[in-house]
Amino acid sequence: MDSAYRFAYSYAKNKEDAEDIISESLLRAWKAIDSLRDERNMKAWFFKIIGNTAVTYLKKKGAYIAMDDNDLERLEYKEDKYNDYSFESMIKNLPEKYKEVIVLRFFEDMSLAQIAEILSLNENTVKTRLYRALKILKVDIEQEVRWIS
Amino acid sequence: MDKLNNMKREYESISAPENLYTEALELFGRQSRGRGIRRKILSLAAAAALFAIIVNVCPGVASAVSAVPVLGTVVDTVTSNRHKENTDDRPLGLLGSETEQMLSGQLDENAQAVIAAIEEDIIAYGVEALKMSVSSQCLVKSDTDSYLSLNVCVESNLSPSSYSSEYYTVDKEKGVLVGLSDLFKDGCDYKAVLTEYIEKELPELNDVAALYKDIDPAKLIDTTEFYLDEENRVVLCMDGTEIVIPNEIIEDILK
Repeated sequence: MDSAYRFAYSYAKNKEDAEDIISESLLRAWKAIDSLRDERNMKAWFFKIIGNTAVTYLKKKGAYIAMDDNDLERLEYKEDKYNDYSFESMIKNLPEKYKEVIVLRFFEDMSLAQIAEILSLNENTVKTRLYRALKILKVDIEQEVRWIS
Repeated sequence: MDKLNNMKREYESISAPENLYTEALELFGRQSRGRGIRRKILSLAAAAALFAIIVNVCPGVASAVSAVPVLGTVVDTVTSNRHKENTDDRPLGLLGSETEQMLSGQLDENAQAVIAAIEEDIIAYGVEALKMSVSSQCLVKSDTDSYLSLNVCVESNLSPSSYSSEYYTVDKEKGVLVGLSDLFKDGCDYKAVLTEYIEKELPELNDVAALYKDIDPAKLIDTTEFYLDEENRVVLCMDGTEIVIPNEIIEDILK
């Protein structure tokens, strides 16, 4: 339960919303259990449900802010914000589309293919987002290139 | 990498509330009552129980699911609180593959009955039913050269608690389930013989006599289950009481 709850928490940024997202996700999972073709993919399957549920849930609450690529340049110049490398500050400040690839790749140790499946993206887009996320977080990309390839 | 490792350590220190699953079910109950979709929600809860049963009887599925944090926890919760099946007692290996398959189908039918009972419980009791338990067990009553007799028991701790017991006897040579009538010669009135013996014996079986005194003796045998013991004697099962029919009583009419 912890892993899924953490993933939900990374969207919600608070315990109450994370619990609601998991509850709703469980309900959706039981409804869609027939769509699970291979039990070995169950984690990615359920994480996809959590991600979709979280976005829908937070949009309803007006708490979901999608940022486009034009915002990136502006973010990169806010140097001070990302000098604090705590997880809490990262999930509060990093745009969703970068935060979710960081969480799935570095914290959940998922493959690029799994992340692409969960986020309904192609792998190149996942790589691009990871690259940009690390750049925003001012992580040494040369050191972390193995995680992106 | 230290920067990411620090964040990862912080991320991994986050723990889900222990009661999250219970709260989720309660939430389903509240939502369903408010939106008038209670029946649908309850069916989903029953699906959880069904999933747990499937996991119980399929070790391969269980190991796959156990690696998944959320579903593993759900399954563990449902399994430990709701339904336990003692699969160790399943008589695999005692019969030919076709007979085992046939018998397995019979046992699965029994499991379906358990699932139906669970769904009824959930409808009647709401999410509280998920805190209660239903257990089933398959016992080998006898295993001779000719026959295999099994007893499948299902027990629920719901209030009022319930207990059911079904018997299955398999002809190992023919690979078919055997009914009481199959044991006797065609055209013989085995019911009359058995009923006469039971009526003679019942005064000594006070509890059973009290239970069955209002039943038409002619129909008594129709409502009675049976199995064959290790000595191939017919044992009639009446509400938990077993009546062994001596062979000399029925030897003339047995096949």
